[in-house]
Amino acid sequence: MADDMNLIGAINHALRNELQNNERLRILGYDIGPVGGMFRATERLFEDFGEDRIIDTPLTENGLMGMAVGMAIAGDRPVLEMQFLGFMYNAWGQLVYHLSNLHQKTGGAMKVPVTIRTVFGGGIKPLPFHSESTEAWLMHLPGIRVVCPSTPYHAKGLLLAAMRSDDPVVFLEHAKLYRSIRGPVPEEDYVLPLDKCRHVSRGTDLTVLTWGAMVHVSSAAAEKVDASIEIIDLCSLAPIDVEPILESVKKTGRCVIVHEARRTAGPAAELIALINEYALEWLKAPIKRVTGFDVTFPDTSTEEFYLPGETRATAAFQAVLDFAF
Amino acid sequence: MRYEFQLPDIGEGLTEAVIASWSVAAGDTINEDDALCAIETDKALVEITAPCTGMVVEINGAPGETLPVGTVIAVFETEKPPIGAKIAPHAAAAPSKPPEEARSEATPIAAAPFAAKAWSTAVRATPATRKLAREKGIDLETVTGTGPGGRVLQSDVARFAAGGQAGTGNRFSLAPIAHEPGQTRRPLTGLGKVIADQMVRSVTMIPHAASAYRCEASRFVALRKQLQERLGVRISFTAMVMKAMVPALQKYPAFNYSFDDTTNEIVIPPSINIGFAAHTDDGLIVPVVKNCEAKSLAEISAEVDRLAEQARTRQISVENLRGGTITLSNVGSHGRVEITGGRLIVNHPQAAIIGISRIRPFPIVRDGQVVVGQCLDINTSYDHRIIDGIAANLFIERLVDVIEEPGIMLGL
Repeated sequence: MADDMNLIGAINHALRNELQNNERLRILGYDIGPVGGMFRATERLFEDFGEDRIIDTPLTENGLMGMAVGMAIAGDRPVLEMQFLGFMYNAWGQLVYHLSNLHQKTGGAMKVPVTIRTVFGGGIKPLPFHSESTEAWLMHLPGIRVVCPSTPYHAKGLLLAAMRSDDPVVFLEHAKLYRSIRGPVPEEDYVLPLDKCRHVSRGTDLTVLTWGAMVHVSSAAAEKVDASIEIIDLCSLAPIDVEPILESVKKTGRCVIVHEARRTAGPAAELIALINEYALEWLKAPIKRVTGFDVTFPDTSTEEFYLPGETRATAAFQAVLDFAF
Repeated sequence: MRYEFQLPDIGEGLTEAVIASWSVAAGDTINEDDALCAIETDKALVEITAPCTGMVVEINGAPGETLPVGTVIAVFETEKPPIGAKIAPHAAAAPSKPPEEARSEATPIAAAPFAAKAWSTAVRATPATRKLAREKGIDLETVTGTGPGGRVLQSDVARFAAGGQAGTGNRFSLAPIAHEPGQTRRPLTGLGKVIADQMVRSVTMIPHAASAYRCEASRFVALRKQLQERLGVRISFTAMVMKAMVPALQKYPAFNYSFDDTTNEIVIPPSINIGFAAHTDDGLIVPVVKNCEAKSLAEISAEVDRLAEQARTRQISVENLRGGTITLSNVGSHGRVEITGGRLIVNHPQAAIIGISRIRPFPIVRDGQVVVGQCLDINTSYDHRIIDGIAANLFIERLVDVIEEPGIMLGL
């Protein structure tokens, strides 16, 4: 039995299921109570599960992060809603000093099972710091998983897996995807692996690596190019599921990476380094990146020029396909 | 810009040469290809021509002086250095001979002493193409790139592997023949182009060795006459030699092999398919008589005549031109009778070619007496990678045995 849902609906559905399933699960964050969350991810949860489970907090990101760490050490399964990735920078101290490294620092004795849900990405014309794609900073931090769903189906399966994982997980929800796509989401309980990528399409001429909203941009761009294109949705940004990526690039000999994040030292740089290290001999063309620009995310009037779109993606695909080898 | 011209390696394993004379002095202007100097090697006196048009800034090496290959013997100031030239570092600003002190303290980056090859002349190829070349055992330096900026493409590697590249080395470049009044030109097209490419492929890929033999063929001639009378059909000498080749090829099958240059494999065919050179107005065509081991002499002869006629009228199907395992060329079929031999070119990827002369009277020695024999000369060229001279001798001896005493074919 599967209902058609949008991505925010799938998140709400997964949270509700897990609140019922695990009484040690608590959600904390601001605006998540009676308001039901900035994007309504926690709609009606406060009413149904009460203030002990749905903890509406003041606006203090670093304090929230520390609180979640303490709760997790004490045996809870905290799910922390960081309203925007751009607001989470305030919580970098507790994230780096404690959450990400307690497990390693205690020789594996201490588990810190915190799930941090946070909203990232542009395309909905919000205010400053609401559109950040700084997942590369998270990927650079050892000790945490970074997960990013691109469909409602994957949102539910990955979020349930995150909430049941003993590892700290940063769960990136793309703002533009919340209400722009719908898809079937099974009613029953299911989890998806936290460290596996997935093939959006299979092809033989070009490998496209992407995640989040760019999965949909890449798919649309691939339709406009006369070639057999294999699109891989990374799903997990940390750790990177490298084997299927290398296998695909060895097959196609070509690769384009599409991400919304800024270019310099962005996630594409790491992916290219991995391919360079382990699949160089198979390359028929230089790898291209379709990315945001090296500027602060612009204001609403120009965000469409900043965000990689079909035109830029198509041009990169074609350029790599046309490279004489 | 300034261009430093090094004493070139003119081949033959030359490592040094003696400057014999100079045709220019410092300060002279010179045109590309004008005489620059003469050098003397162990083997020859060689004229070296100017690599570019410009002014001679400096010459190095007095007549009689021995210099190692690679020594800068002349420095030019030129607008147009040779293609692929390594430009002198910081040429315009730097004195041509920096003081000793400066030289020893020069940073590696400025002097680039370890740069085996300048980036501008290095091979350009994608990793995938390099991998392909490595797998095929091909040095990319020797492959001419046809991609953007001279990039070597996988298709270039494949063409090279098939022997289809004219300039296979970078030691020599091909200079065009100057256009002059009264001269006319026509492009090589069609069959002529196919033949030219095939010949270049053959001589480029195959290390040729050759041997020549003479045999006495009067019994062979008599047999032909007898067969024609008894069977009432025409039997050609070409067909008779083909038939005679069969037992020799069965005994010494290396002559029937082919060599796959893309995989370095000897290919052993299941049958004997003899190609024969047929003359047409446009050039040679080589029809193939397949499965000679399973055909009678009359069948082979009829097929040779039929295919030769189809070739002459250019009606022959491609199928009848493919699959040859060895080639027979009746070099005596045209022209005067005196021809005794010549170097044959193996038809790549086959391993050998046999050439036969016309049968004509020559003095021979028999039982200590000079007598007139009906002589047939046999020449062969073969791929020395897989056939050596002794094997060639054994093979031809077996062929000669049959020609001189055709009856023994009954026992073979």
